[in-house]
Amino acid sequence: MKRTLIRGVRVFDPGAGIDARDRSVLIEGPYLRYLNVEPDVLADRVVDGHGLVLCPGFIDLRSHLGEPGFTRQESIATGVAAAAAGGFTTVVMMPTTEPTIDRVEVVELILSRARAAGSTRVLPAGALSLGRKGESLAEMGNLSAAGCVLFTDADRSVRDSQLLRYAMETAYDLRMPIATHAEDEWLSLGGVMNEGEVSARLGLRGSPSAAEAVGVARDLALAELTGARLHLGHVSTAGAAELIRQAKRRGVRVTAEVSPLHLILTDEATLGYNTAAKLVPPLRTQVDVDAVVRALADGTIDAVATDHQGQTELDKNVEFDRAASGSIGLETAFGVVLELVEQGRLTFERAVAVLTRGPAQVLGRRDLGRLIANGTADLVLVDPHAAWEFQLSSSFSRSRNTPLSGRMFPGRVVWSMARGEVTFDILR
Amino acid sequence: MSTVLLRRANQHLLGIETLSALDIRQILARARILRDAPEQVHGVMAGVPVITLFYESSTRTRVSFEMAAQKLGASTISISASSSSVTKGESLWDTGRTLASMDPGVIIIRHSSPGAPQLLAEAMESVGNGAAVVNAGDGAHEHPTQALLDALTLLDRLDSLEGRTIGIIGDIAHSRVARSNLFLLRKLGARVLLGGPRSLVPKTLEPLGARIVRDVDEIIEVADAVMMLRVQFERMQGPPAFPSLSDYTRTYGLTAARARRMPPQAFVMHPGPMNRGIEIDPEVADGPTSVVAHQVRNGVAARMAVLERAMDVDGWSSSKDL
Repeated sequence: MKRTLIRGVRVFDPGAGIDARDRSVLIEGPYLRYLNVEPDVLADRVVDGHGLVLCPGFIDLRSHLGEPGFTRQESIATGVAAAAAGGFTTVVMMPTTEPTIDRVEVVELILSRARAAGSTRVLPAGALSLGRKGESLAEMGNLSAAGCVLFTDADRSVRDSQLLRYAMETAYDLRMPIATHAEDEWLSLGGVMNEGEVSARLGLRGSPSAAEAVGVARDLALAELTGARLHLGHVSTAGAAELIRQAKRRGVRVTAEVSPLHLILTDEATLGYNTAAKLVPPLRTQVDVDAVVRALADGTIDAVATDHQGQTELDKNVEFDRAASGSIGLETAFGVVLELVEQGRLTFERAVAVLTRGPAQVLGRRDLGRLIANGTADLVLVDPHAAWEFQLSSSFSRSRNTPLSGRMFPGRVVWSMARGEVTFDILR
Repeated sequence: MSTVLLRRANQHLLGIETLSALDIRQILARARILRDAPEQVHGVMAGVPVITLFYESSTRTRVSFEMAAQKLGASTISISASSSSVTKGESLWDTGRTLASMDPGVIIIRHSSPGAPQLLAEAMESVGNGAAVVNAGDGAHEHPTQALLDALTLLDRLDSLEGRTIGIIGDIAHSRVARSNLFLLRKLGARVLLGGPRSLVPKTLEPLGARIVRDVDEIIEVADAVMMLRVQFERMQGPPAFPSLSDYTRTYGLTAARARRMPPQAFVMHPGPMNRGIEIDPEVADGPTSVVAHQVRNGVAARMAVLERAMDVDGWSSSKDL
């Protein structure tokens, strides 16, 4: 088996509690063999790790890879390439496909495309309801057996509370998490951005932050009722963060994630009718940004998930209220958390944990997001001090929609390895 | 007249928010001249094509713009969404680029989406065309020429807006007229009181300098002028935002009884279209305190000034005294 030696590297894994400098690490075939070998061990390939940090490969809980159905925007191959460039070795793919992931055949198609695209793990998230219509349950048992890792209607809230209850009870028996988009869609009806001073100035219909709080409160109540594991997707408001904090204190089995953009941008990014900043949920106010950053720092929010979603010019270069929502984000997620580290709002340990241990715990996977001797070699090398500018022209994504074009980040991913295969490398 | 010169500094008018108080005063001063001294009106826009691109229906605004353009000698071309390529699925971006390639002088746009005039301006600039875009109303965002004609009307009766109190009552949430007026009145130093159903008067407008008053009678008793707005049912989604029309009229309408409580010199404005008997009593709308007809008259003059500015006629903005 081919041997790769990473020499002189800082090994950093919040999940396993490792922080060791100047180590040499040996990878053999698809396995991470030793976390501490002599630097002169024979190897086919040697990587100079001085000044770099070796972490478990990142896990993204929310990507929209567009295939099948929306390959104008993204494909599994291009999405996986963008993931690798962002340090991700595992990507949970949302059922925002056409057809949606509510049949075993779709799961099989996705897994075969993912295998063809390389060694990055693509984990399909099954639809919670058939067609994501919110009317009847998808075949969660069959989907789970085929390889789905959680169930969700992605960016649609499940309006019918009874249906969500049944979904949670089914998921409980399957030992699977349910992920929700928590929102009262009646309260946010017609809203195209956050309701606030900015929406008032722009004359755009806003969705109040209370719509998210109402949704979160309902979903938490059902999690408490059913005992199911609930994962709250892309939380964006101070109110939601506080509800989750209280629920965790009560012992509700809940986890939560936040998107990178909601950690650094406010609704002011939409001024000038900038459709690149039109997201679901919408960008909120500084009060909300501060609250979700605090919640991420104190463990109330478990993970950062990219919500990577490609959209074409055709869908974005139109009137704001008619424009599609979403932003690409796989390549910039680590840069964003490092930005928070640099500002002193997140520790480096936490920044890595929310991309590794955190999402692994959401998925209930002990084999992912950790550096384990003789475990699978899912690794990322980062240079925390290599400042770089995110240039759209160098993006691997098929789409170009992001409000972060041209943004400077304090550090970056320089090398990724998924299951022993190098998937990204700018060291040479 | 040299078209090269004309195209040099064409200026968009996308909203009041981006204008300075000086810009506003210049436009108003020029509008007064164009209205009161018709001999000053020359065919300065002779041969200039002015396009009215209306994605929403309109009577007074379109006619007012076309009349203003024709008085300045321009030739007007009107496009309605129902008779254009929009029905064939053409995007606003492509429409903008297509029209830009025909090299018009000014495009006047009305659209239901906030920000559409800006998108149109960007599309035209993307093909290197210098035509000016004038916003004739974009969703609930702005209606700058309405605010300008309203200011002209207010200043015909009040020496200055500094320290004056202007009430705006009705469906503020869906109103571009309210936003443009709020921006303009604040820039000229007036106090703005907003009233109407809480469900249609967003408190998020307060940071922009308005004060929301729960009891419309309090506004009516102190305001130098009140602007009554209609309820825009066509922009509402979900359930009705208030119980019934008769409820609305009782609590928020300018009834004859309420109108009697206005201060002696105070007057009533309405941008139209008016829903008589709902937000305003017919007797009040046609009564001595109403300046509605005057507003409409001022509309043509205000829009002439805006068109002149859009074309930078005679280096317009730099030469006009206040």
